[in-house]
Amino acid sequence: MNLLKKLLSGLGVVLIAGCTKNFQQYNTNPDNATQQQLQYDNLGTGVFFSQMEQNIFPTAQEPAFGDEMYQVVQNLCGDVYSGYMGASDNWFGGVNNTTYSMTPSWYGQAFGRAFLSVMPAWLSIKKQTRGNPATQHIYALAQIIKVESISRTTDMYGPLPYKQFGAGGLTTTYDPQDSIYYSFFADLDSAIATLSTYVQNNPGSMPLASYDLIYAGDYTKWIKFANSLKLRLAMRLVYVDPVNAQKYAESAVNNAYGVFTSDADDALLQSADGINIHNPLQIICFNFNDIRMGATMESLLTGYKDPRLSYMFNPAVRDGKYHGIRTGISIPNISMYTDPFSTLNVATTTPIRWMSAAEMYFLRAEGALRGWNMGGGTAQSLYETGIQTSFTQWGAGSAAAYILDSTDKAAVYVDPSNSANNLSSGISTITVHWKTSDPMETQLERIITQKWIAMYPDGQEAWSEFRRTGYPRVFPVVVNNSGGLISTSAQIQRLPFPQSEYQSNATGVATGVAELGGPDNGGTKLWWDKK
Amino acid sequence: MQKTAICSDNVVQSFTKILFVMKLTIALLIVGLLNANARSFSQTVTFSGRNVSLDKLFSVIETQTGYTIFANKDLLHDVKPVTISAKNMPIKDFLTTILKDQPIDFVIENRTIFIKEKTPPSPAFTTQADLPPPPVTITGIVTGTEGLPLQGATIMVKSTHATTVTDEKGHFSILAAGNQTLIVSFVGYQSLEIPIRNRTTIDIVLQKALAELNQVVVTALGIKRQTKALTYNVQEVDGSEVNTVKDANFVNSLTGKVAGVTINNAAAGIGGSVRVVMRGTKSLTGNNNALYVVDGIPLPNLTTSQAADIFSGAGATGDGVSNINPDDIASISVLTGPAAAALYGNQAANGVVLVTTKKGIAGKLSLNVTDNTNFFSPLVLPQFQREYGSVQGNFDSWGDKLKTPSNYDPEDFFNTGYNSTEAMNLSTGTDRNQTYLSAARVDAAGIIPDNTLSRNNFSVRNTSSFLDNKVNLDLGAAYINVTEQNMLSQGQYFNPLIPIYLFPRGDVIEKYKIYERYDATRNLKTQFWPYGDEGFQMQNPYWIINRDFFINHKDRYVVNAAAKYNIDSWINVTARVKLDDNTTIGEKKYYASTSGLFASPAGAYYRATAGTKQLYADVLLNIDKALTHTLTLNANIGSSFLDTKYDYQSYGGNLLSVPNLFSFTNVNQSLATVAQDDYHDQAQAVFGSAELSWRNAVFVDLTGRTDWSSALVNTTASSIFYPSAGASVVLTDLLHIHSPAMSFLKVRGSYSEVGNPPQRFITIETYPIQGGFPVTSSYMPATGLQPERTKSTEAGFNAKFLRNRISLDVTAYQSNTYNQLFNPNLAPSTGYTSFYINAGQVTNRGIEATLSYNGPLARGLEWNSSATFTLNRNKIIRLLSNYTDKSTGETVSVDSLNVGGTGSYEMVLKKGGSIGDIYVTTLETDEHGYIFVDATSKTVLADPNNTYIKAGNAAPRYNIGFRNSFSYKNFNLSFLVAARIGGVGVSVTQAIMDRFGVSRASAQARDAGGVKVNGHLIPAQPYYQVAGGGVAGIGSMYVYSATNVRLGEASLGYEFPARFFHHKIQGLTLALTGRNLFMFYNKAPFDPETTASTDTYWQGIDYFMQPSLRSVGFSVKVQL
Repeated sequence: MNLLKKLLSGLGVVLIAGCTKNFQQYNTNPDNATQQQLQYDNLGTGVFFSQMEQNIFPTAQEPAFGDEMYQVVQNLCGDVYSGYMGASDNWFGGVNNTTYSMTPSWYGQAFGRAFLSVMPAWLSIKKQTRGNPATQHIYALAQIIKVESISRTTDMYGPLPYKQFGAGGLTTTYDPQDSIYYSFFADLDSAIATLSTYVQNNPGSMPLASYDLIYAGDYTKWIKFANSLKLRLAMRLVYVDPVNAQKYAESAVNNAYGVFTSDADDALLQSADGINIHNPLQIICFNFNDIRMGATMESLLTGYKDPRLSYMFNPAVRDGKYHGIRTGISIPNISMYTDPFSTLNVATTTPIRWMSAAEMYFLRAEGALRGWNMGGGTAQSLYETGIQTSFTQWGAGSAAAYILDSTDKAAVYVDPSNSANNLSSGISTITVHWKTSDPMETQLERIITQKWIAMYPDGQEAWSEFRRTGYPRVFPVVVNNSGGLISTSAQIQRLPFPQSEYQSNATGVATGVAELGGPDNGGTKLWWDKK
Repeated sequence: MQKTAICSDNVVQSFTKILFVMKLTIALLIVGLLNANARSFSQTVTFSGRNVSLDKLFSVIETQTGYTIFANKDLLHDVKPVTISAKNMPIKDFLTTILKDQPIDFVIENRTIFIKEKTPPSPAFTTQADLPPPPVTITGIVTGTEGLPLQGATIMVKSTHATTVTDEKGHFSILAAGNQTLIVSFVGYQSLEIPIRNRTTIDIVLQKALAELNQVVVTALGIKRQTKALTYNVQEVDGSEVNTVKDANFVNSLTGKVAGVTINNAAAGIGGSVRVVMRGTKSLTGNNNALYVVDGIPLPNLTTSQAADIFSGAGATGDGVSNINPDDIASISVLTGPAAAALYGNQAANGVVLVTTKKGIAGKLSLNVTDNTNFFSPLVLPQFQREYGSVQGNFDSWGDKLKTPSNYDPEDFFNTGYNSTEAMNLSTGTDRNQTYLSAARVDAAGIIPDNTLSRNNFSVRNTSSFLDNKVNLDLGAAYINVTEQNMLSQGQYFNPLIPIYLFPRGDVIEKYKIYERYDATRNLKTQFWPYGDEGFQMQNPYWIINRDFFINHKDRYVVNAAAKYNIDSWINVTARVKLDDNTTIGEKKYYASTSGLFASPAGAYYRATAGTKQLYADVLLNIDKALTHTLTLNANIGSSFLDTKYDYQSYGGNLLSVPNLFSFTNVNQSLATVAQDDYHDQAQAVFGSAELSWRNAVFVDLTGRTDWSSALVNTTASSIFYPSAGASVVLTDLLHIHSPAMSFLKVRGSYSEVGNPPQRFITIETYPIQGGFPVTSSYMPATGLQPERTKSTEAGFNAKFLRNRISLDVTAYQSNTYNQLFNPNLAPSTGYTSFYINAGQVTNRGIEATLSYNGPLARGLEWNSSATFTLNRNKIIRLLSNYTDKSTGETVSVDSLNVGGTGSYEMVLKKGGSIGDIYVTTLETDEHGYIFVDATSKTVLADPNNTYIKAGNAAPRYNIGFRNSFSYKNFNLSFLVAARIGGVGVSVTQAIMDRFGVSRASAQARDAGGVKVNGHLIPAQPYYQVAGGGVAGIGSMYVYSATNVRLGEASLGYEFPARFFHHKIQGLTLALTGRNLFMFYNKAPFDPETTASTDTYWQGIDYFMQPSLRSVGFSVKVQL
């Protein structure tokens, strides 16, 4: 046998050995970029910003299935749990996330988006810039976008395998949510400092202009974004760590660049640089026919006769009026919940708003209400500026009359397809007009209710703030298939950790469950949820 | 040597250079061999003895010359012992001397000596006076069952021994009386006695002798070997076996006929792919399907992506082998073990199906025309209810009991499918030049309306010899054209079976048969389906079949050339080249108002083109040489070259403005999806084999092959060496046992190592492009990979009893596949979805056995029966154990790996388990293990901890095939019973039907007042909403045994002899045929032999699979 092997190898050397030199080329995927090609045009850092930005609100098209991803990551999660929208479909016979039967193929996706699409791109940038002082501004920007992504993710799940990410191991331990949150502030502060120095030293320089879909490489705007994000996250801590909440909020507002103050500051994801961003809500609403206005939204907007209503939603085809769908109902026949209800007023070109100036005014109003230094202005003035900023953003004109309305309240809800879903008690009684004499809690409800309207359609942030404050009074589910794990009145608190983590990172996820401090289901409250 | 010159980018050019170098090398080798062996080249016999039996003398000849002697034992009854003294006497003279006074004579052909009856001097010597009726001249033609004339067949008058031989056209003429009997015999065929009965014209058809001892089979690379010399198991299937009861994909016709093979047909209906697994699944992540080889050359892998989730399954397509015209198949050899296939190197691990195609035969022109027509209906359907209706407007059928049962029957949706195949082939030629021409046309329609398949096959082959038979040329060309429309295997998307099965029993389906209605605002007809998708992506089923199209067009050109140069009688060199060029265009057209998930209001259009171009070439030096009086060498040395280029482009998306204008120009460009996928693989190999035979009774076989493969770049090896070794001993010959009870006994054993290089591309880190920008890779870059390796051993015996009428072949084997390329999923927290590593070890051990009988059952009634038995046990020895991550030094082990499922059904690989193990979800149980029933709501709950329990394995424990064929006069009746024992499957179809209240089970539960849980009745609807709820129900409630026994094939044929048509035509055969006729036993609500995927995983799962087909039909074969 050995002889044969030698004979054959000998023959082979004569015949072939010289002819395998093209094998390197054959075995390189011709449709992918090589390491060498990534060195051209600063691609090695630049393109990964696009990747990060397209995966926070998932929009990347096939084969990434951006629309389907957005549907399960945002739409059938925060968008329906916040009461903004109601599902018009009954996947798996109505036994799915909307009725609190948590569907693994849905609730695991947001985790995957963060750790398979955003974090690897961040890690690539980190590796490319590590140890090079000249490129720390690039890393600083990556840090800000990372915090934007992971803050949304931790508010869905709680503890995450975050700080050890990229250490190279095959299993990763989870960090408790408090340490994740405190790292956000440290990362943002460091990024703000780095970028501020860069902007001062290199005025007008925009090295990432061709890769940044949000601000076209304008670092000044990114600093404002970082401050705004810091303010949003600081407020989240108010019931668990009020001292730090105030400290971070004040430092954000009072930073030299400050937070968003006008629509021009808003972070918008839209088509740019040759990348087509197609608003997935348009596909989900009109092509999939899966989503409509939410019942809570209908109740508040029609109750307040809110001028923004027609900018946000379309009248129902059936009767020309506005009708929303409650989350968590039985849909025996889909046609009962499509045409009779209001579609979203969204176009393919509608930008995806990461964060708005209106939200900042409401956050500052809440800070002022709590006696913090919010850069001037009273709770009332900031509240009213917030409303006007939102009106301006939606193109709804002057909010002067709206702000003075002290009589209109949320409307009684009627489901035109099934009266069993009607709701007349337990709904909000708050009015728009600010009354200084109202108790603080009423004023807080007023601020949060208006912030909720203003932040539409970012259901993820609205759901987080609903969990933090209990406002606005989002309608509870009618059908609860959680088997008692999720309370109908307290509503859903979080998403379970993905099954893929249990399968491949069992020891890691066990630390996550331990940090969570309760069973890994939708009924366990997050760390900051202490009110 | 000018390396750079040889390594041109031009593949063909570089190959011709390889050929040139090869030629030189071979020439050198030949010179060496000639020098070494010139002395032992001898064809003489040296022997002295008194009254020696002919048996003894024959074995002396065999051992001294290496010649093989064929002698029908019946001919040796009247022979006498011989006294002879010979020294270096030429073999011919020796034979003439010892047979001088004997009633037998001999013929030498190609180192084989045929012993035949001696031709009497002349018929004139018979004493005519003794016979009352005067003899008359009887004429006729002798043909074989293939319809070709037999030259040299012997016709003898039984009583007078008057004999004649047929001419080249099979004609004979003999004098005999009308009351006598003719005996017709021909080497390789069964002798036949025919009473004359006063006829003057008699046409005779001889049956092939099946138990011929020195049968020759085709083995790897097309090398022909004596069956008795094989050291491994090779099973031969005659071309007629796949043509009697024809299937559009001939591989289906092998079911139950070969041992050691598990065959599952894809649920895609006619012309679908087939999953062929030999001796168990070996590779955890690689391909486990058998390799197909046509005339010695491997076919390109044209398998297509398979359904592996709950959504996909629409627009399925047949694999490459389904394109082959069954009528062109002369025979099939199945090499179940790696030893048999070791010469194919890395492609051989999964066994090989070797197809030998027909070629022209010298003799008169022969034209065959056949027509096969089959009709299809569903074989196994779930059971439906029609007693309970639905609440107005609701989609489920949990309404009141209907006053009169609904007349809605989902079975009415299915059409009677058909497959009509017309085929003709023509063979003509002279001694020097033969031509074979064939054409076939398949027109088929599936049981799901609007599912159609058409296929055209054309092929031409010419074989010729020149220079006094020194040079043989074999040239062939084929063109295949296939069009498939709406092949559906399973899943939610575009599956009309979901709305058909679940349709509310209180509604009337006729309303929805008018699937589109005029929309005044759009001024076009739009889909009518007020129920919506119900979370299952449902559309109007009649809209799906009429307005959502999946069309595949395939064009395939194959050209091949082989040249053989006979350097001497014992040595020849063959060179072969084959180009196989396949282009598939897949189109999807969704009409305006198709569900918004798939299309814009104007519709959607996608078009993908995939091209596979494979160039194969090899050079093979064949040596067949007597080294000494007792030792013969049969050796092959060769080199091969395989170059495969694949290119795929697709473009498509939602239509922007004009409804139903399916053109790229009308696609919404900003949202269009574009994809491109290309590869270029090359493998070069050198190989050799040597078979030594001693006294034609002991055989030793060695093979070796070295592969250089482009996928080995950046791995630890630049080439892979695959050896095999085997031995076989024909005990009956070695020990001179010549008993009628035990006519033949051979024992054999072999060992081999084969394997797989890693998957292409993974060793070189690259960044995929999405939307024009690079993104991070989803897998960790692979470093330090090694090729996967399968080591296998097999041992077996072949025994024949009762004058070869009964034969028993048994093989036991074990294979051990290690260094497996392992692609475990990583937790998302690592940033990757998977990584590649060599790990994992899987063993398979099993038994394959065939027992057959071939002989008369009663006077005139021939019985041909064979039973196959297949047993395989698969075990995962380890997955990933103690892998140390280089960057962190962290050691990890993976003992469990999920390879996909529905959520309620998962396939999980576990250390100690088997590939194909199915795990399922369960209902919540109480502390005593009883199903938990909530005291107030009286309902059950899904297990909140989501624990999975093992349900079983999708693979069978045993397979048994029992085939019988009876022939009486011109009638032939055959049938095949196929049994599969063991294994499980999960039916999500049944779960979802239960939930919607449309299953018979749900009606029976309502009739009974509820479902019995723990011995008590609980309300049916809430129970089924849990048990059949969620994504796919509670898996453990829907696990079924996959054991089934079916009548796999049956046919009844009648052959009209040529004289019936006064020789205007040469023959006409009519047959009634059936396939998958009925189940003797099956407890599953689906056909367990049908699979949604021909890959390794997603087995044993029914997610609204298309039912398998029961086929009944007829065939007409005319021979002109």
